[in-house]
Amino acid sequence: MLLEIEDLHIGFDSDQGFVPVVEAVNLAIARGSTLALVGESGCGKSLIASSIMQLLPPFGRVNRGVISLDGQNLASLDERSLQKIRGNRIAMIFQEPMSALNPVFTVGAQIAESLLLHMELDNKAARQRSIELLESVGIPDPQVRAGNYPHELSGGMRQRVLIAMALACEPDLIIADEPTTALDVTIQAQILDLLHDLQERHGAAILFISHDFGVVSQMADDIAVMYAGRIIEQGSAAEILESPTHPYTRALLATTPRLDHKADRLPAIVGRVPSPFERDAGCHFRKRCDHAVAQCAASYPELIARGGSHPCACHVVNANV
Amino acid sequence: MSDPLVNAVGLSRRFGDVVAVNEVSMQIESGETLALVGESGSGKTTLGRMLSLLLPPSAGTLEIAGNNVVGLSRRALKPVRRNVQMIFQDPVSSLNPRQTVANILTEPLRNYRLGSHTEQTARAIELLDAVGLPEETLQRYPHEFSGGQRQRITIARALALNPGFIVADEPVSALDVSVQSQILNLLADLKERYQLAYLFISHDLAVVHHIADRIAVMYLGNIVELATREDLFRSPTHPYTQALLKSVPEIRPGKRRLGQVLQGDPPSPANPPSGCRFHPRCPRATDLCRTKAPELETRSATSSHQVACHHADTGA
Repeated sequence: MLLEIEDLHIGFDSDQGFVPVVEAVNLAIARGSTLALVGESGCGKSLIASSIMQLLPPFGRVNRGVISLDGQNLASLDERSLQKIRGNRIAMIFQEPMSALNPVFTVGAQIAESLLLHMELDNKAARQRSIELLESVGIPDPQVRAGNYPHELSGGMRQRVLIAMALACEPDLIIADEPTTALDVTIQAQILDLLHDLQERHGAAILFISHDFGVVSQMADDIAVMYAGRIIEQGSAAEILESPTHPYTRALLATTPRLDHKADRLPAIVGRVPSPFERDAGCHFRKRCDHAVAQCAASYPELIARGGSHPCACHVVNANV
Repeated sequence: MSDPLVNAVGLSRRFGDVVAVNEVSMQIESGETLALVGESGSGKTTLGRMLSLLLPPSAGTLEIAGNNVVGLSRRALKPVRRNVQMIFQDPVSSLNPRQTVANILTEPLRNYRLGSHTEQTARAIELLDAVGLPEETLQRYPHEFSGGQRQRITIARALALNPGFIVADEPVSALDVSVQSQILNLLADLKERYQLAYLFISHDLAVVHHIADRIAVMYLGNIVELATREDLFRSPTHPYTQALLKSVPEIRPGKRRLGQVLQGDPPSPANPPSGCRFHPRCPRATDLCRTKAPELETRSATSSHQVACHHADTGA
């Protein structure tokens, strides 16, 4: 496995002690494959991304767990060694390309920056290489565009520039955090296809973070569904999309409006996600769940595979199979 | 058929040299949801602002419930405005953080001097009930609520004056899927209960497929296709509509490429292409398309399906 995450707990310290936000997460991604992390806002999916980069926001800290890249524990590395990994072996693409780009440098200069840092190229070679990269992500007139500032480009072009930057050092792992959420649907289609092409060409692994099951079905080999800081169901894309077992995954898929099906009313999920302060020892989903039983309040269900099915964290599902 | 509630004919809006909306005609009936879809910069928000009387058109006529509203003074517009309300995408910025929910909900009533203080409070409680919020909500402030609850508050406010027509500009785009469906169901219930007409502006075709009765597709300031929900999704006719529908990722397993659906970015509205504005990205474009802009026309005498394309009958 290229990336392995074992028993990861992330949270922050408060007056009441440590408050866990992400709990007991286990993930693994093989080279060349795409794992999608799906969940609604606040479920902790972006925190996992920043913890892989060892770039947690100041309030956050990893309380327990190991994140390793090719068997190397990332938390054991000093800042200098991490610099050699960030942008070089692991690259990140964000949702909002405008805020991820520096407005006062040309896009060519920003791509060249990581080449100069990691690839030991001279200025001229780095410039040449950044033009090639712009071309490889489908930007027309790359020579001219390299001299443009971010505000001179459209949203789709800016996202292509970010992807070019992410590819600059041919990373082993690309973390894409909602990379098309801010884009129009026809541009989204272009960017998703581009990510496919690039994965085929470079064999990079992708951790694809999204709230959108449609986008995820197009991209993912495997899917992990998160709810309130925990992975509640995990399997191949076919397993999750065609035979979801966890009540949350099933409800989320049923409540998503889609083109191939028209319901009079969307089967809504009542209530809301509990905040990290409101979580207790029981299943975090039970108050919104139609199938909850007494056991659900007593203990958090383990994420286990029963009866030949894929892993699911639900007392009811796991008792019935 | 009775007179439509909203009747826009040849509505245009310029900002300097930019034509944001170009000669749009559309009618909306009471109790009907007309969805307006299009990508950023297509002019859908500008059109929505004109129909909600927040922005005067540069040309064209607009009637709400039979009343002309173009060229009216603020005072003359006031009685018409009661009938037209708006819901925005971001419930955080559309609610004043320093006002209690009671204040927010009674402000429209105070504006129109409707009822005593007690009656206004009673109406506020009624409105909260209509959107599924408890009475205790009244004394609280917007920041105490989640995004979905805040959107319920803006919907309650929009209902305060018993409007017939609501312009909802991306009302669920900022919400999580599970909350989005609660709000979509609420909007559907309210429409039924109060015979509301909606102009539902959205970029999300799956949401539109769920909620719309009819759909207008906009591209660079023009309506390129207008049809019932069934017709539009069953037989999309404009090449842009076809590309939009093809771009929506389907929920089914199988890692896949979509294949090139549309090349390039939409051109800038400041410098639109000649002829049909879609021609530079259109697989069917001919010399005719480069020189002459197509009109929005019905496809046959028996159909209400309108398309603006010289090659509408050549198929996909």
